[in-house]
Amino acid sequence: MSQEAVVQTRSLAKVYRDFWGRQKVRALKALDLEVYKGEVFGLLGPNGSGKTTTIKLILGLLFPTEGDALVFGKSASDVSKNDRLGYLPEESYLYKFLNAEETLDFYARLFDMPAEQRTERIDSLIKLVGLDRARKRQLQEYSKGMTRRIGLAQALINDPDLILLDEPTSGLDPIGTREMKDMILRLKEQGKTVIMCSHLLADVQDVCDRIAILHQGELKELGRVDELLTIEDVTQIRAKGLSEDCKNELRDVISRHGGELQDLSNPTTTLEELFLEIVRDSAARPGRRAQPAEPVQAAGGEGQG
Amino acid sequence: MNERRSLYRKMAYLLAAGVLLFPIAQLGNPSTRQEEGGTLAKIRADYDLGQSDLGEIDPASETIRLATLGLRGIAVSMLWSKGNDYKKREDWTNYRATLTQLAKLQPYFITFWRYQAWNLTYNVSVELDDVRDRYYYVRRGIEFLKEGTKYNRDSPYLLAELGWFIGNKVGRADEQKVYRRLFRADDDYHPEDRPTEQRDNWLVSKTWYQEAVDVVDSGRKSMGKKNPATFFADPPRSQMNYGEAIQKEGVFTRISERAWELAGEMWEDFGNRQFKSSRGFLISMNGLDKQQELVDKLQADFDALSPGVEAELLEIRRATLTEEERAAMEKDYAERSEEEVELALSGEDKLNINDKAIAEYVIEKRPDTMAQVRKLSSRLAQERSKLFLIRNNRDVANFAYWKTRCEFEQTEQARQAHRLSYAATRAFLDDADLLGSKKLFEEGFDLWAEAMEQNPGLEVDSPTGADIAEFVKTYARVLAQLDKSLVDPELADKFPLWEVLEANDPERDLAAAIDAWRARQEASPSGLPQIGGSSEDGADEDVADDSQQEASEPEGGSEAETGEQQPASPPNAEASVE
Amino acid sequence: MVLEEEILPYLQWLTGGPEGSIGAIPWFFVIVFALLVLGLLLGFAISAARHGPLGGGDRVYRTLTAGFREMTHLSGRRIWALARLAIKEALRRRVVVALIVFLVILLFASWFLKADHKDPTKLYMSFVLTATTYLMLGIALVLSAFSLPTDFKTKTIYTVVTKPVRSGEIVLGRILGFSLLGTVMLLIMALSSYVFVIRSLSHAHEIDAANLRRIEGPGGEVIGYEGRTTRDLYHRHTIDLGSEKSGTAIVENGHYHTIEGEDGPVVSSSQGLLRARQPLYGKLRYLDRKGVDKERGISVGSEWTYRSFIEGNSQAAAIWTFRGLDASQVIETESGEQLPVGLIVRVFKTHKGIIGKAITGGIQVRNPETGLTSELYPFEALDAQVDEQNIPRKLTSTENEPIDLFDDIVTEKGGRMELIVQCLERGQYFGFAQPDCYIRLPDASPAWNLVKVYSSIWVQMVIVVAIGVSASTLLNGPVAMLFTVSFILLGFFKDFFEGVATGTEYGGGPVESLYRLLTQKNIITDLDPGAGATFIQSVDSVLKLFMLAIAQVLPDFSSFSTVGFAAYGFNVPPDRVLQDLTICLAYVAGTAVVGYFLLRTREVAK
Repeated sequence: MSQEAVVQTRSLAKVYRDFWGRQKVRALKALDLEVYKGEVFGLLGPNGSGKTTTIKLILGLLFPTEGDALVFGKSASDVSKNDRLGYLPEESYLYKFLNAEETLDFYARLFDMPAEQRTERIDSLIKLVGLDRARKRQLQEYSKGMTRRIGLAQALINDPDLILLDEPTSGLDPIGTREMKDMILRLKEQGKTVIMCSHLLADVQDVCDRIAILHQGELKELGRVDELLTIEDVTQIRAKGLSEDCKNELRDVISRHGGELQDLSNPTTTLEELFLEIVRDSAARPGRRAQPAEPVQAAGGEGQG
Repeated sequence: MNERRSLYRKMAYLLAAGVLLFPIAQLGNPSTRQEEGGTLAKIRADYDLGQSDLGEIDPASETIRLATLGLRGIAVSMLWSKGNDYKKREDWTNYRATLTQLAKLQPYFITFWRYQAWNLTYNVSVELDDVRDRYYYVRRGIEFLKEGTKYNRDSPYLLAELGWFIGNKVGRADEQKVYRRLFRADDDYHPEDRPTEQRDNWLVSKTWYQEAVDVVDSGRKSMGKKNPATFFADPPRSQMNYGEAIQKEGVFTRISERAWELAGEMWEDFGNRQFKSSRGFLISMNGLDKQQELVDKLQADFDALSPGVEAELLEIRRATLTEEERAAMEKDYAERSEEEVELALSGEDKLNINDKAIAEYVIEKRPDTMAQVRKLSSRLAQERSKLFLIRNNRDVANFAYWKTRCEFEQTEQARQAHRLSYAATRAFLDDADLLGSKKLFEEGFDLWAEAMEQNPGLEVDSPTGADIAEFVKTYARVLAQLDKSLVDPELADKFPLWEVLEANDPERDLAAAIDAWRARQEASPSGLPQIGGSSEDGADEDVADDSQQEASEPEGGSEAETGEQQPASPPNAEASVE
Repeated sequence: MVLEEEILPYLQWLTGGPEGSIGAIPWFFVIVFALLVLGLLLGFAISAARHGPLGGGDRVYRTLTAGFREMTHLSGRRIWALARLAIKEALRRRVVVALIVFLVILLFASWFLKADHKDPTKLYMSFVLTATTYLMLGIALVLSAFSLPTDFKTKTIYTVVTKPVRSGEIVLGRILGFSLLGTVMLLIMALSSYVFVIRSLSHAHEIDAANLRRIEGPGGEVIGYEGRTTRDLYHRHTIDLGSEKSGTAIVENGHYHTIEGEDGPVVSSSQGLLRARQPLYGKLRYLDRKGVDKERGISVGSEWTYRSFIEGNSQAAAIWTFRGLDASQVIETESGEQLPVGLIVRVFKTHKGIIGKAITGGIQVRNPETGLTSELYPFEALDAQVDEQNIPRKLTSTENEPIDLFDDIVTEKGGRMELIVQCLERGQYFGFAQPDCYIRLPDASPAWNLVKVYSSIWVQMVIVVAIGVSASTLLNGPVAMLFTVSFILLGFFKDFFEGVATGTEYGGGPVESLYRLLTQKNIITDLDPGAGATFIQSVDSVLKLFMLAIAQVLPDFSSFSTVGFAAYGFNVPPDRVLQDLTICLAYVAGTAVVGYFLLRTREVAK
C-alpha cells in the first residue's frame, strides 16, 4: 500500500462559540488522522460526536480553533484544493429551482470546465446515477433518493481524487443503499480516496478499509476494519452443510485442545458490538484515547482537550 | 431546564406586552355619545381635531392614504418640505405637482388648501415678471381652492376664501386693470353659458360669497369662527366693488346704475338679516333704532316704578364714603399717592350705581314690587347689551357708511360727477386736452359737492372722499401744466371740496394749497364751522408728482402685495378674514 | 436648466485640475489606503484576540497574500455561472412583480399628474424617472441583500464553496447577475415610460375656420391669418399663419404644432415635447456697478443663492467667456448667418415699472484679447425662461465699424469670446447663474439623451447591488438590507450628513440633536453651559469624526440623478456620463474587494 497521505489532520480542534465569544461546545478535541490515497476511510460515531465537524474542517467550511487540516498537502482554507475534491453533503444542499442538467452544468462551470467536456461529463453522470428520465425536472420535484443521487453526481462532476461523503446512505431505501455502497467500492477501484462518515455501522463495515470512531469529540478507535474486528482469542467457525456428527467431532477437537466452544451459529454484526462497547467505555471513563494504530504520525497528539 | 427558562422569558414578554397594551387602550379609547373616551379622544375633542366633515370622497385619495400604510403623517411632512424646497428653487411646476399629491393625502385639511392656494396666488405669482404669467398663477391658486371646495363641500371658509381671491386679488392688486381684463377674457375659467357681462371678477366673487352664505343659511355647515358682521356683508360688498370698479373703467350706463341699485337692495337685506351675535342674541343691523326705542321705553318704565330713586341711592352711597376716601377722591388724580389711588378707586366703586343696584334698592324700599322690579331690571340689562352689540357690529361692518354710500351713488349728482370726473381724467391723460379737462373737472367737483350735501351721512374722510381727492390731485396736475395752482385764491374760492381734500391728503401732496385755504378761512370771520383741524407748517412742496403710474388703492392696506420681494404671509386662521 | 454644480471635463475630474480640487483617482486611492489600514488593524485585532499576536499576525498576512493571489485567478466562466444562477434565483423570487408594480404606478399616475402645467413634459419626465429610480433601487436592494444570506440559510453555499470558487467570484457573480437583470428591467421600464409620456402628452388641436381672423395688408390683400386653436390638454395656442393658412402654432407648454393649410387648416400632433438641447457653456464672472471684477453679483435676499444679480443702468454686467467657438456653429437665417445663443434672465424689480412691459437689457460680444467690442444689442427680458437669441455674424463695433463675429471677435486660438449682458433700466436687476447663458449647438438626439439619463439610474442601481451584495457576505438578510438602506438614505442626504459631521448644520451632532428633540429645544439656541452640555458635545465630537469618515465613502445619490436634464430637455454631457460610470466602477471594485475579504474570513458552516 502506498502510504501517501491525502488528508492529514494535526491536533485538529474546534470549539463553537456564541456571539459573545463564550465557549459553547468543544466539538472536536485534538484530532490526529491520516487518510491515505486509495482507501475508503470511515468516520464513525453517534450523533454529535464530531464527525461532521471533522469533514467541514477538512473542507474548509469551518476554521479550526487549534491545529491544522491538510488536504493534498495544502491548507484546508486554500481554495485550490477543491479542484480535486468532491463533496456530498449530509442533505443535498442544492438549488431547488434548477433541474438536474442545470445543476450539473452550474457546478461544472465552477470547475471552469469547457463546454464540450461539460456536456459530456453531465451526460455520463446523469446516466451513472440513473436520473436520465428526470434530467429536465426541477429538483424541488425530486424524491429524497433522487436528490441524493443528483448530489452524488455533483460531487463527482470534476472526477475528483478525494471524495467526502457525509452520511451517504441516509434516507435511502435498501436498494439505494446497496447501490451507494457499490458506487463507493467502484470509486475505490478507480483508485480514489473516499472519506465517509456515518452512524450506520453496516455501511461502514461493508465498504471501509479503515475507520475512526469518535465520541464526544474524541478519537476512540482507529484502525483497519478487519483488524479491529478480530478478537485474537476468539475463533469463529463458519461452515455449510455440516452433519451433526461432524459438529460433535469439532466440539471434541476443541475440547481436546483445551478450548471451549462458546457458540456455533451465524455471526452477528460485531462492529455494532465494538461500537457500543466503545461508547459505553467512553461514558464510563472519559478521556481515554485511542492509540495511534500505526506510527506514521509526524507530530504526536500531545495533551488532551 | 432550558425549556423552562424560555417559557419564563416568553411569559415575561407577554406580561410586558400586556402592561404596555393597557396605557394604549386607555389613551386610544374612542369617544361615544355617552362617554368622552380616552385621553386622545379628549384631546381631539378639546382642539376640535378630526376629519369628520367630509365632502367628496375621492377613491384615489382614499387609496393613496391607505397605501401610505399609516405613514401618512411622515409622507405629508416630507411633501410639505419638498414643496417648500421647490418653492425656494423656483421650480413652480414641481411645486404645484407636490401640492396635487398633498391634496390627495390630506384633502380634508382646510388650512392646507387655504395656505397653499394663498401661496400660489399671492406668493408665486409675484415671483414672475410677465403680468400674464402672474395672472396664470393667480388663476392656479383660485383653481386650487376650487379643487378644495370639491373635497370639502360646503366649507364656508373655502367658499368665502374663493370669493376673496377672485374679488380682492384680481380686483385690487397693482395689476388690477390687466387682471380684470384677463379674467373677463378667460374663456377657460368661465363656464360657457356665463354671459360676458357676468364675467366680472367682483360678480363672480359675489356668487362665491353668496354660496358661503347660503351654506350657513341652509344649516349645512356652521360659519365657525367667522364674524357674522363681515361674513354676511361680503356678497353686497362685492356688488358695491363691482359698481365702483366699472365706474372707474368708465361705464356710466344703465349697468352701473343697476349695479348700485342692486348693491343698495342687498345692503338693505343685509341690514334686515337676523344673525346670532357673540352673546347668543339674535340681532340685526337695521334693528338699531327699534332697539334704542325699546331700551328708552324700558328705562322710562323702570324710572316710573320709583321716580328719583337713583339720586336717592347715590346720596346713600355717598354717605358711606370714609373720610379718607372722600379726601382721596377730591385730590387731583396726578397728585394721589399709591394708597390714595386705592382709596379713590374703592370710593368710586361705591358711587358706581348700576341697574342691578338700583333694583336691589327699590326692592329693599318697596318689597311689594319685587317681582316686577326684578323682571324689568333684568330685561333692561339684556336689551342694553343687545343694543351695544348692534352698535358694535354696525361699526365692524361700517354699516352706516355703506348704506349712505349706496344711496349716494344712486343720486343723479353723484352719477354725473363720476362721469364728468372720468371724462376729465381721460381728456387729460389720453387726449392731453388741458382746458377741456379742467372744465370737466370743475363741473364735476360742483356736482360732487352737491351730492355730498344731499347725503350728509357721508363723512369727508370716507373712501368716497379719498376717491374724490384722487380726482382733485389729477386736477392739480392739469392745473400745473396750465401754470396754475389751487393756491391761487381765484381758483381756490371756486373749489367746493376743501374739506374733503383736507381729510384725504395724508401724503400732503397738496399741502400748500390746503394751508393757504385754511389760512384764508381763519382770517375771514364768515368761515364755516370747522371740523377742528389745526394747520401745521405746510411743506412748500409743489403739486406736480407724476413719476409712476401707480394704481390707486381706495382701501389702503387691504392688499398685502406691496413690492416684489415681500412675500405676503399666507393666512393664519384670521388674517384673511376681512 | 438649473445646474447647481459645474460639470468638470472628464480628465480634469479624474486627475484633479488646476482649480485646486483633488481629482477622483487620487481621492480613490486615499480612501482605498485608509480602508486598507483600517481593515488590517481590525482584522489583526480580531485574530490576535483568538490566536495571540503572533498567530494573529500570521493569519492576517496569509489571508492578505492569499487574497491577492486569488484575485489574479478570477475565472470569467465561474463568474458567469454564478451570475446566471443569481438571475435565475431572482426570477424565481418573482422580481417580475416589480415590473407589474411599475406598470400599475403608470396606470394610476393620472391620479396625481395632470398636464395642466406650464411645462408638462418636465413634470411627466421627472415623475417617471423618479418612480423608476426608487423602484430600481428597491429591487436592487432586496435582490442583493437577501441572495447570499438565503444561500447560507439553505446551506446551498456548502456545495458552492467546496468547488474551486474564489470568494471574489461569488461576490462579483452576484453583482453581475443582478446588474444584468436590473438592466433588462430598466430597459423595459424605460420603454414603457417613454410610451407613457408620449401617449399622455401627445395631442392635436383643431382650428375653427370661423375663428381665424384675416390679416390684411395695406392694399387690402390677405397676408395672413391669426387666431387660436381649440383647448386641448389644458391649453391652447395662438396661431399666426401665412396667407395659405399654414405655419406653426406658437410655443405653449413647451411644444408647438405645425399647421397645414389648403382646405381648412389641419394641426399636426404636438412636436418638440422631448428635446435634448446641447449647450456650450461658458465661464461666468461679474462686474459690479462700478465696473470692478467680482466673483458674484449682488444678492437680492433670495434664500436660494444659485443666481446672483446685476444692477440696471450701471456698469454692472455678467460676462461669460466661451471657448471652442467656430464658424460651423452658425445657423442660416433670413437675416444672414447668426450664432444661436440661449439666455435665461431672472428679473428682480425694485419698483413696478410699467405693468405689462418687459425690462430691457443689452448684449455685447467682445474679443478677450484685443478688447474689440460690438455695439450694444438690446433685448427684452423674458423672465425665467429660455430666450433663444441669435447674434448676427455681421456686427458693428462700438466705433461704428462693420466687424465679423468670427474674424474679429472670436480669437483664433481656442475660439474664445466674451458675451456681456447688462440690464438697462434703473432700479431693476437681472439675475444669472453660469448655466444661464450658452451657445446653442444643434439639438442632440432625444432618444440617445434618454439612454444617458437612464444610465445614471443604472449606475445608482449597480452601486446599490454592489453594496448590498458585499454587506450580505457578513450580515444576514434583513440586517444587510437595513445596512444598505441606511447607506442609500445617507447617500441621498450626503450633503446634510456631511454638514452635521462638519458642524455646518444647525442643531449639533447626533446626541445633541436627540437631546434637543427630547427636550423640544429649538436648533438655534445654544445648550445651557454645564457638565451635561460638555459631555454631550464631547461625545458628539467623537461621533462626528466617525460620521465624517463614513461620509467619505457614501455615494452621493442625489447628485447622480440626471432627471433634471431630461425634465428640462437638455442633453446630458458625456463628461457627466463618464464620471458616473467611473464612480460606479470604483464602487463595484471597492465593494467586491471588501466583500471578498468578508466572505473569505467568514466560517461558511457556522
